[in-house]
Amino acid sequence: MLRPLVDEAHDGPVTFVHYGFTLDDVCYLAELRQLVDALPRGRLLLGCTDRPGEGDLDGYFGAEHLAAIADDPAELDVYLCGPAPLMDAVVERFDAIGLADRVHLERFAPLPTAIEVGDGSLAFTRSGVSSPSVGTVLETAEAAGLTPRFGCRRGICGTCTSTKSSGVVRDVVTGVESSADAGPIRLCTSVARGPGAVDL
Amino acid sequence: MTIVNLAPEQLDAFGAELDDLRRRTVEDLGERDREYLERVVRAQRGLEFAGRALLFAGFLPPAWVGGVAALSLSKILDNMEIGHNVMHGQYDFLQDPAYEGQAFEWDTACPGDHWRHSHNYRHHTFTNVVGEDRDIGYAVVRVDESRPWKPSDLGNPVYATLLAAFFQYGVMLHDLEVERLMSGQVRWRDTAEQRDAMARKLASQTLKDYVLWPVLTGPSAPLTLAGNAVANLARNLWAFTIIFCGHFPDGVATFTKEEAADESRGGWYLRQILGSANIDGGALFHVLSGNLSHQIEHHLFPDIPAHRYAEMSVEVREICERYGVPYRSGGLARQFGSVVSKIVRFALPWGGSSDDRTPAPVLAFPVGPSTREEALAG
Repeated sequence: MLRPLVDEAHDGPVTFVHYGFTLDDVCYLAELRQLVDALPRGRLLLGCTDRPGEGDLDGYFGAEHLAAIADDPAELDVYLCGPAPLMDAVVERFDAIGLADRVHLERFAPLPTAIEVGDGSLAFTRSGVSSPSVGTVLETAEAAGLTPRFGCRRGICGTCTSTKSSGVVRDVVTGVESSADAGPIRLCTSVARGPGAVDL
Repeated sequence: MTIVNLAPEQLDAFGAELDDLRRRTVEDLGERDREYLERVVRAQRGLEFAGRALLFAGFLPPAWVGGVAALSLSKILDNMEIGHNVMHGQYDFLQDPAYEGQAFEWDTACPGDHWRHSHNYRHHTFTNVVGEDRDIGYAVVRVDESRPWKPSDLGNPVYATLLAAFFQYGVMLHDLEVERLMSGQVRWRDTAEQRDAMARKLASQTLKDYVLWPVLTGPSAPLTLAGNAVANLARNLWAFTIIFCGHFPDGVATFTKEEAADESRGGWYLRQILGSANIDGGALFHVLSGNLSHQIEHHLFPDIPAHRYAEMSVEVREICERYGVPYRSGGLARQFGSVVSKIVRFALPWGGSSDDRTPAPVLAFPVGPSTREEALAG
């Protein structure tokens, strides 16, 4: 979220609060500091739950932390993401002071349902490996331990284009099925529709 | 201000219409496209032969001028209508090893593999996304408000002129990401392989244009060297002009990473259209621009043979009109004038806020959630 604000040269007040067990557990700390510094009114508050005194806030989120974050919580818009207990604590606090509508939160959703890959199977002729299809041809090759070149992984750049020597594939972006003849395919958007062979 | 107001379902329908145009065109690819490509390649070889041959008589002014003109056109055709397009994989369907996108090499300083990464992947996937697409001003020229003004930007017109004059070297260095080397995000020693490839390509190009051909012409060597330099300069200025007109005239939008995150197929199409601009012109002009004058169609369908864009543009324009999506097009003088004015304006701290420019369109909805999982499931 910080990057777009920096990109847009946002000049409003932004307080970024991040919790970790210790400072060593805070991912991308240097980059985080850099991004916050790039905002004219940016402020970074680090909470350390396991080592008091190491960060700006000690222990878990509570009323004192909120006081450190803002003088007047009514002026805040809160964008929240993190482990469930932290999110619950913040929501509870804002509920208690009648500002529940200021909290915008994102919970990690469960994974989407499994991809239907049909009954395809692929032989990778150059490496001599065969594998049932587990997704796109690129994903299947990777699952079989191969490392084909790739770029965008969505059918735009053509970096992964390779020759299919036999079999029918369906392009998952356009829905178009290939002929059974040999020809170039994009590994990242092709799914095998039966047995096939690719020069990899 | 233009507001593009497409709800996610409309965006899907918009994408489906463009997908349909794509499918119909791909089904129709065949002999006609092979003949076209072979005709252009024959013209390019003829021009190169004529140019090199005329420079043997370079001591006669008309021969020198004719030779330089032919060689300039040869390089322009080689780089733009042949190299750029073949390297996109536009002619992969021919299954001809001579025109294989992954392997093709062109008559310019930038190694093909570097181009395939910086252009085919970075620029075409993340078109006009600030912080991802390094083609926005080629990381040198300030052309967007998202880049905060700093005093060194006063040199904007000078940097742009230098980039134009030495464009083949700018393109060569592009994938090295010099600004990330300077900031320490990329380590110098990690670029050894890349630098070796550049050095090899640069050496062979320099040897060819500035040693071998001049020496072959004997006493005319200095004139041949000068002629080759002018041909390279002409190609540089032309390529720069066409490329800068493709994305930087006023009214072309840039996007934040957030706006482009998890976009749908229709959302990706929409971003390509709002982030590109076409140049109007005659048939010969389109060929000499590598059909990048149809920048919008090229960004929608980067892997479809570029000489098809003219006919596809009729339908694209009609689809855009129905969905209220702005389609930017103008003559070369107008588009290039707009680019030049922008480069000059953006040299100044208050440059982005001129009133007489066409503001870029704004999205009323984000470009939508990814439908990749659904597509895979379907």
